Amino acid sequence: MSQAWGMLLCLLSLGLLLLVIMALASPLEALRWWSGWSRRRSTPPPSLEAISAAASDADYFVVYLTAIGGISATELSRRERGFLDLLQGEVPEAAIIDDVYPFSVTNNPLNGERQLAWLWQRLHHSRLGGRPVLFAALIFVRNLLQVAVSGDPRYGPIYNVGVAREIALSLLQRGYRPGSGKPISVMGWSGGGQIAAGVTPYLQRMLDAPIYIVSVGGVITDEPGVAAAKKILHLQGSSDRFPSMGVILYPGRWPIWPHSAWNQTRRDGRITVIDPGPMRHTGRGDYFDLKRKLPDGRSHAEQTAALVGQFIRQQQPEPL
Amino acid sequence: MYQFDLTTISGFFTSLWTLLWGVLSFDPDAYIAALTQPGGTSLSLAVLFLAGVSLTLGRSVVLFANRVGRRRFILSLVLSALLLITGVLFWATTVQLLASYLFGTQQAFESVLIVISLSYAPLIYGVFILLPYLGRPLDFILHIWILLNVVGGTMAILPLGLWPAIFCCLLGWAILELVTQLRVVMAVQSGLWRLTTGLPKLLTTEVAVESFVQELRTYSQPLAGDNPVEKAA
Repeated sequence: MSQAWGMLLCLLSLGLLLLVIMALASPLEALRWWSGWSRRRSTPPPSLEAISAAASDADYFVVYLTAIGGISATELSRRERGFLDLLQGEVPEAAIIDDVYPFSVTNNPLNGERQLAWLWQRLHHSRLGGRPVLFAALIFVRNLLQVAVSGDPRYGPIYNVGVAREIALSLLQRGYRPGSGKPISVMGWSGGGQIAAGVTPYLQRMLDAPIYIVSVGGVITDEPGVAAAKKILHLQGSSDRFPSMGVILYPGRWPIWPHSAWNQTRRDGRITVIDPGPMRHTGRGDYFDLKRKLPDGRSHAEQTAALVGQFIRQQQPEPL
Repeated sequence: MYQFDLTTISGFFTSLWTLLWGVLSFDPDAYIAALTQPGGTSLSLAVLFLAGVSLTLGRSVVLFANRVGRRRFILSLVLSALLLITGVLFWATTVQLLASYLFGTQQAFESVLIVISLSYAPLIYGVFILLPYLGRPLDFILHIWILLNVVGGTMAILPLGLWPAIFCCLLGWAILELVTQLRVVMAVQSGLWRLTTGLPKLLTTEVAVESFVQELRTYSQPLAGDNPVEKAA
């Protein structure tokens, strides 16, 4: 018995050590990129001629940022793809952009140009194979730490401006025109909600654009970036407790600080919180579940798409 | 238990490790050994140097934000540690002088320096200030820990009562802060920054990021408006 306890203690210590190492290393990807130490450079800006040829007549632009379980923007889950298709059906005049991976400052997926790409890929495959791999939780931990980096006032400006740049380039390539006043909705699920809030002020200034935030069960810190948003839609299912993490852990979300960015934005009436039903944070019964039905017969994904679609259609282009 | 051997490199590092561990374990014998054995001052300053390097690593976002290169980064770590030693020398001097003039204590400067230097040992954990979310509160906690160490150490070494010790330490610290605000000291600091980093001036992260935003804004400006073809023409 005591041997089992010893083994358990040893494993817990190793786990804690691994967590501390991962946490210490978490800001380094963004910092090394910013300082030019990293071999990995940002996506090179496309030539202006290439962008000019691809002007879009879409009325709305929606940027989707995946949750902390994602390893790449190109490998979204079927549920996420299904939801985005439903959203496109709700707002046909919107251009939906889903090629930015929010947990890398250079839009570099976990299975991209990285020394540990093989490990992340393997963990991802194990997870997809339905095997209960404890180590697959490393993906969540790694990305959760990036969310903490985004929400840390010391690293946040560097991290968020990097992701904002990737989003801006993607928008330009999809035909967005700076100064056109066309509304951009940055939509983040779970930890993607924090990244959406973090990139908002930079994206707004880079593109002279009105930015809206859609948080689908978003875990948002006391990020000052929310103040730059025109409006924020925060969906939080009655069975989802995760978004409360941001409220508990970050003092700027507490009601006792009336001058925090979040509380001021809320007081301005720019934050709308909606309970879409008994939705969970992730897994079966989450916001994007295509099978689980609400009492009115609609699937969770249909309900989420309808609410987000309604929020987007209310936006008006505004010349800046 | 604490037998310092500074005759060999391995002996130096073993002594340093033992002393550091003893101080962090709140062992009074570690302080006594540093105060009584030969080499105690060197080891105490070595502790302070390591603490300075660790603290600078923990706060290295400033260097990264200013895009300091790898070699100059290492140079900056060393310089920051040396600046910390300079600051502690100054603080120890003021504490000793204040205690001597105001409360009539008689103690060798070296002893005060050893105690205050060892009080900085908690900063060896300074590298953990890098941690997102937890780093900033940790920075605060470590500095409170140092302050308590300095006050406790001053009470023991000079010796002084609690309030006179707090008075000497806080006034000494306030004088140090005032001195660092002097124009000449700030000019020296700026000069050292330029020398070590090769950069004209220290930028805040926000200022550095803003110039990046403006670059992308300038890049996308030719596309401004609804009709890019007309704009390009």
